[in-house]
Formats: sequence, structure tokens, C-alpha cells
Amino acid sequence: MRAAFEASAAGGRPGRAGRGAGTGQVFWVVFAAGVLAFLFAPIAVAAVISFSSASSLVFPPPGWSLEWYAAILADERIWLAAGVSAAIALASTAIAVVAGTLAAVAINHYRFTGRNSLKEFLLLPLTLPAIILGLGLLYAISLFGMRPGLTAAILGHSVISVPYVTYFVLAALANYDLALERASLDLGAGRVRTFLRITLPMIQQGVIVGAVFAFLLSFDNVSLSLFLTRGDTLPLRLLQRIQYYADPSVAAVSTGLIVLSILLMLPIGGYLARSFEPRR
Amino acid sequence: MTAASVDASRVGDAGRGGPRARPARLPVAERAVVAVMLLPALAVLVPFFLLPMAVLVRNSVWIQQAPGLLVPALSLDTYLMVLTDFFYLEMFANTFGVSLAVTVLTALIGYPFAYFIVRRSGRWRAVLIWCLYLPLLVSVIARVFGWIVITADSGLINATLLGLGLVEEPVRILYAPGGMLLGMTHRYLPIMVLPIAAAIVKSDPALIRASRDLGSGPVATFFRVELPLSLPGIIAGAQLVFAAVLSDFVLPLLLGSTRFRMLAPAIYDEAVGRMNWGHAAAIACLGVAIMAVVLMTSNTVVRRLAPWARAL
Amino acid sequence: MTASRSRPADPPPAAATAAASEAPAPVPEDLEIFRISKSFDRVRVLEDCSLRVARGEVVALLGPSGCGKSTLLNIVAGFERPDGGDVSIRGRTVDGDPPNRRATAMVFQNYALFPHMTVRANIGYGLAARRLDRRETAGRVAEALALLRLDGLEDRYPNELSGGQQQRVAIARAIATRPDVLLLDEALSALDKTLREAMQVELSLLVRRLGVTTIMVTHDQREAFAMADRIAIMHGGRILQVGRPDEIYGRPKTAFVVEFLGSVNRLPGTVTPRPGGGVRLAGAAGLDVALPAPATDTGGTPTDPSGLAVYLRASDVDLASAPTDQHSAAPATVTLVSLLGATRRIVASLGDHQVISERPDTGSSPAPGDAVYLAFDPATCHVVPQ
Repeated sequence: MRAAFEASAAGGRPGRAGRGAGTGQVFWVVFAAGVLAFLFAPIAVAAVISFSSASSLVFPPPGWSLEWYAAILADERIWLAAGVSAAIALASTAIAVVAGTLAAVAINHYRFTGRNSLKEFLLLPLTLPAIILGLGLLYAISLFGMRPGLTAAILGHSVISVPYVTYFVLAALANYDLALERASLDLGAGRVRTFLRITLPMIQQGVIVGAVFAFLLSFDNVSLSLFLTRGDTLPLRLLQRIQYYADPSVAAVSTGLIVLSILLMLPIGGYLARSFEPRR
Repeated sequence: MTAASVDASRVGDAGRGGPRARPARLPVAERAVVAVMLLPALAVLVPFFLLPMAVLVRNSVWIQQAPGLLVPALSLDTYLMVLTDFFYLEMFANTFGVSLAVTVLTALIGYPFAYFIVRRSGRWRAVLIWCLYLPLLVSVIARVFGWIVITADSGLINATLLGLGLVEEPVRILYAPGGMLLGMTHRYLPIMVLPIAAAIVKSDPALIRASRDLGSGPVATFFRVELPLSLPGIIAGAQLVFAAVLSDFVLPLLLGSTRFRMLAPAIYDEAVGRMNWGHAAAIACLGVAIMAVVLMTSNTVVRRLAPWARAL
Repeated sequence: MTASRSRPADPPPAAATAAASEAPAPVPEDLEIFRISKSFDRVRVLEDCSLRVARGEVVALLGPSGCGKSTLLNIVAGFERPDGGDVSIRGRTVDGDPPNRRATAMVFQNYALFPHMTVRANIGYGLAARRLDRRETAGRVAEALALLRLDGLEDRYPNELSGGQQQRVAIARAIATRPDVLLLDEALSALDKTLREAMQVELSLLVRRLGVTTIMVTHDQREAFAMADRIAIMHGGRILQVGRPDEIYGRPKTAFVVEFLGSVNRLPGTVTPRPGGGVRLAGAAGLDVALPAPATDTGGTPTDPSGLAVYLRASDVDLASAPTDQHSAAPATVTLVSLLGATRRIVASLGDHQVISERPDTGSSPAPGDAVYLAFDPATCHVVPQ
């Protein structure tokens, strides 16, 4: 029923959808294909040039080789940087999953004074420019006697990761029926058991999506790491390389990062699309 | 009162209309539970978000006596210096202009694209939504690298133009404001499209039917019903894009021109390069102020133009 | 059970109902639905539906959810295109017309009020689309506001109104366009019971006062009977029977119609032809009744009476403490007695079967376990094809 109406809403007169599909539909498809091409062009180009045989960034590449991948595999600095980034991303994501999930559940389940302000506060780091937050952190960590390094970076990245997890868990809780928990409590399960057996399974997809976002954004972070690390994370190393000698070795690492993002994004795609389903 | 303390209403409903009693004070046991649940998040955000922001403001009103030397004394000197120096003012103007330009560009491309996505059937819509999220989560370095290859003097665009004989010598795109604008439009298109698509999806399809039934054609229905109803989505997207451009560090650095100064690299340069901590803090605070003014203005616009939106 | 006004006192029922829907209407027709069929994804949702609606008439499409009634309404409004058949409004076919070119106005199930417009703008929307001048628009909006007692609310937004007020705005918005045909799509179903019943009365009076031809879709039998001049019962994508409420209730043509109208007993047993016309039901526990001939589309007696079922409304059967009748020799045993306000429901088991009686409460009633005897008038039985 909806499909028939959509055709008419999108352009043609109802009932003429079949024939009127002509120019209107073609325009839309061409336009959308253009936007998609725009969205994927740089990603595709980076992936393609990583197989180039040239040492300059000529596109299309004059020939093909795997030399840049070989170069990267042998590059200890890159692997070290990847290790540092992974450690920061994993640790800050772990903090965010615990802190963000608990906070979201508390905000959703209980009515307490300042509840709305607290929610705004928890999500505020998402709207605040990260570079400014980074600068503030640079000043603040010295107050705690910390220097730029792993600990500072982990805690700093958590400031952005916690809101991401909170946001997605709150979204997952939006359609959550509290009666399920009442039923669990009523059947004799305690608070902790109810949280682990009922609440968590119901919101786990929100938690996972929040964790994926937190991990990838931390792994890719520049604005905070600039101030909180010793320039030894993967994005910062790549940044330095692009600035000083751009060769396809950066493309080889980029391709690896693209593959990582796609792999982590594949399982959460359906969930992300769900909130864009029309109501019925 | 235990039953009343556990509220069945949805998160998003908080603060909406309807007669709402003041929240009943939670019993002690429940308050303890809430406190324990909130503790980890607050333990991260208070010392590493609230405090840094406070220090930032403090540093902006202390006196920068020499590079690396900030003297505790309440003064607006740093602000005065920044706001009277053409070097900084131009940087603010550049940043504001680019933010505005990228916001408009992404809205112009993003609205029809969001409309297209929402009108697809289930499977296609899901694929397209995924295609929007993916670039958002692909390493920004990888994306920038792609743009460098495309826009460089020896890159894809120039190779094509030269090959076709359209130009005699390479057109300068990379390391110029144009290349940065291109990269930013690309980087921030998804965060414009997603809220717009969400707003379009949220509006009741029966409203379109009602409009058609009452005699409006498809075009009139779009401009009188669909577009106004998605206005909150457009504003939300615009706010996100504006704020993101304002704080973008990587693209101005790698795609832009050093002669076209932007806010984020300027802050980094002041703080780390020149050790002018006070200046960096003042510029940062002014950046937040610009953002706050833009957010509040656009919120007022929404309230004026769409007084109904709050209840949606 | 009054007979059709325009016909002899007691015609063969089949002929009466079949003809009533096809006879030329006394007033000009506003709407003709002719042999409409429609499938979605190869699933048939409408099959050969025809209906003529006279000017000023109120017709209800009544049926369970999924029977195709809303689809039929959407076809009339122009939201769906039929696979076959025609829709004509005021004698002109509207098949190619988009919804905005049709002189129909719909009141939607959840009102579909434009949330970004005030009450005044909502009501004026259809008039603006018709490019009426400002004075004419203001006049008609004021008129619609007055008709639905909405004065003083014109500058409110829909979310600032109660459910009942929103309902009124939706109706005002539809009638302000002065449609040839008003379409009500489960228009009252979102209201609570008390408000709904009050609105049924108000809306019935309003559409008759305006003389607007109205098609209403509902799954609520009471609503259809309360508001409509004629009712079309729909099931499985077909219109099973069309008639005035008394015809539908008094002479249901199929088993579905009888059962849909509720509280009915299917009398167990086998149906055999009776010499001299009519049929005979012989059933469990000595049940043996002579019945009138069943209604058929052709007007004759069906050749195969074994395909017939006999129904008896709960309100037409009494459970007496003594055998007053020859219908059933064996007694039934009372299993449940409950008071439903003005009526008392008694459930009794007759062999393997259950009999339900709902009669006005007389104060005295049998108790569970008592032996009772079925008492009913065979003329109140409905003999219909299964």
C-alpha cells in the first residue's frame, strides 16, 4: 500500500507511477548516484592508489605493485603507532561502555532532580569543538600531575566516547518497556540479575553501536591526541607523513583503516538503518 | 512511591507538555542506585571535561606575560589583543565564512539526498543509510589522502582537464580554500543528511495524503507540508555541520592554504607552537562563543518559524 | 423486521436485498463504484466490488480489519489505483485524477492534522489549494468553525487541542472544501467510548444537515448502524451484502454476515428439504424444526440444502424452565449465568453444544445446573449458505 503511494509522492501523478517513472525517476537516480560517487570517491581513490607502482601520487597509477604494502609491513614506527592507537581506543571504549551504559540506564529509568540537565551535560562533549576540549585538557592534566601519554589520552578520549555510548544506549532505551524489569523483579530476580539478564540484552545493540563509534572515532582522533600524546598515534604519524613526503605508503595504511571500518560497520548497519524506517 | 519513581515514559518525552507533577523525591535506596550508576560517567566527565573547560576560561582571563608564562591576574587584556588584531579577526572571519559556506553546500546537496533515501523501499534505504555512516567512520586521514590524490596539480581532476585540453596548466585546488571546501563538504555531508532524513521519516505519511486529498498537488504539498515539517531536521543538521567545521583541524592543515588561516590550526599553533596559552584560551573561548550564538540564534529561528516543533 | 418501503409487504427476501442495491436510486447518484478489484503483491484485497451511493446518502463500509474496506476508500480518494473497475463521482469517471483533483475530502483515522499549522490554517488549507480569495476563505473557515463548535480555538496548534477537538478540526477541514463525497476512514476510532458515541450523533446530524454524500469505513457494528443510511458488509475483499440497517440485521444473506453481527447460536444438525417448500433442521437432543426457505441470490431454493446453516440470535432464544415448545424434547443444562446490564446472558449445554441466550433481565433466572428447554420462534431463525 505504501509502495504504491510512495511512487506518487515522489513525483508522478498517482496511477501514472508506471509511465511517469520516466524523467523524474531518472533524475533522482542520477542525482543520488552522483552523491554516492562523491561520498566514496576519495575512499576508493585512496584504496586504488595504494596498489600503485609509482612513488608519486599520480592518478590513475601508471602500473600496479604491492611495494607500498611491503614497505608498511616492514615499517616499525607505523606498527608501533597502530599499537598505541589501538590501546588508547580499546581502553577508552571499555571505560565508555561501562560509564555510558550505566548513566543512560539511570537517566532513562529514574526521575531525579536535575535529570534533564545531567543528560544535556553528558551529551555536551559531542557538540563542543574537540580542538577546544583538547586545549583545555592540555591545561588540566598538568593539574593532576599528568603528562601527555597513554593515560592522559585514554581519559581524554573517554570524554568523547562516553557521550557516544550514552547517546546510542538512550536511543535504544527509547522503545524499551519498563514492565519487563518490573516482571523480572516481581518474579524474584534482584537488581543486578535483572540488569544483566533483562536490561542489558534488550539494549545490547545500542551498546555495541556506541562502542563501535567510540572505538573508530578514538582510533581516528587527531584533535585530542595532538595535545594528549607525544605524537605517536597512527593518525598523527600519518598526518606527519602526508605533510612531509606524500607517497602511496599512506594509502596502504589508509586502505587497512578503510577495511577495519567496513568490517566493524557491517554488523551494525541494520541497526543504524532501523531508526530511519517510516512509522506505521 | 516506589512505583512512581520508576517512570515508564520514554527518554525523549522528558520536559514535554502535559501536566507534570514535580518528580517525587526518590527513596534513599533508589538514590544510592542512581548515584552508583552515574558515578563512572561523572568520574570521567567532571575532571576531564568540566574542569578543563573551567581552566580554559581561567587561562583566557589571566595575563600572558611571555611565551609559556601565564600570570594569575584577572584581566581582559588577552581578549582585547585578540579582538583588535587583524591577524586574528581575519582568521575568525575565514572560519565563520567557511562554516557558513559548508553548511549551505551540505544542506543544498543533503536535503534532496535525504528525501531520496527516505522514499526508498526498506532494503535500499538501509543500504543508503549505511553508505552515509561509513564515510563518517572511515579514517579522516584516508579520506583526506584520497582528496589530495584527486585535487593535486598532478591529480585526477587536473589530469582530466589537461587531457581534454580544457586548461593549459594545472588548476590550483589543493592547498587552496577551494580544496578545503570540497573536502569539508564531503566530510560533513552525512551529518547534514542524517538529521534531515530522520525528520522526514518522522512526519506522518497521512499528512501528505491529507494535503493531496484537500486539493494540493505534489509540488504544493512539498513546499507547504513536507519542507516545513522537516525544518527542525535541517536546523539540527546545520548546527552539527557548523560546529564541526568550526573545530576542524585536519582539513585546513592538509587541504587548505597556510595563508587562509582557520580557527583550529590557529589554536594549536598559539598553544603548542608559540606557547601563548592565554591567546589560545581566549581564541578557544571566542570560538565557543561564536558557536553558542549560532546555536541560540538558530534555536530562536526554529521557535519562531516552527513553534509546533517542540511537541513533535 | 420491517419490509422495504417501496416493495410489497413480504417479498422473497433474496429478491428484495439483491434488487435494493441495484435498483435506480430515487435521487441522483453522487458516487458509483463499479466492479473494482485490487491486488497488492499478488494478494487479492478487493474483488469485483460495486456500490452506488445516492446524493446525500451515508453509506458505511463495515467489516473486520483486513477486509479491504480502507483500500476501497483509498481508491475512491485516489490514493490507490484499482487494477480493474471504475469510480465515478457525479457521473464523471475520476480514474485518471490524482487525489488533489478529486472532489473528495477525507477525515483520517488519526486526523492527520498538519502539526505546523494552526487550526485556522488547517481548515483553510484545502481552500488555499483551490485558490479561493481571502474573504471567501475566511467566511468558509468561520462557517466550519461554527458548525463544529470550534470558535476560539482558531489560533491553536493541533498539539494544543484535546483528542475530541482535534477530531472536530479534522472534520471541519474536510467539510470546508465542500466535497462532493466525504470520506470517513475509521474517523472516530481514536476517541474513547463516551466521546465516540456523542460524536456519532453529532456527525450524523451534521452530514445530513449539510446533505453531503458520505462513505464511512468502520469495523464497529454499532457505529455503522448508528450513523449509516445503508451498510455494505465486506469480507475477504468482497462486498457481501448491501442494505439498510434493518435489512442487514433482519435478513442477513450469508453465514459471515450473521456471525459478524454478533451474539448468535449456530443450531447443530442437518438441513434437509421439506416437502411443500422450506427446509427442516434435525439436530442433537431431539431438536427438530421446520424453517422457511433460505435466501439465495437467485431467489430460488438451493438445490443442496446440506450446504446451509441455521443461526439463531441469542436475543431470539429463551431458556424456559418447562418445555413450552416442540423444538427440542431434551432439556439443556445451565452452565453460566451473567448479568450484562439490561440483559442477562444464560449459557446452557445441549448435548455437545452450547446455547447462549441474551434476554432482558426479568429478575428471576435459572441457576447453573438447572434443566432448561429451548424456546424460540422458527421465523427468527436465519437459514444461510455456509
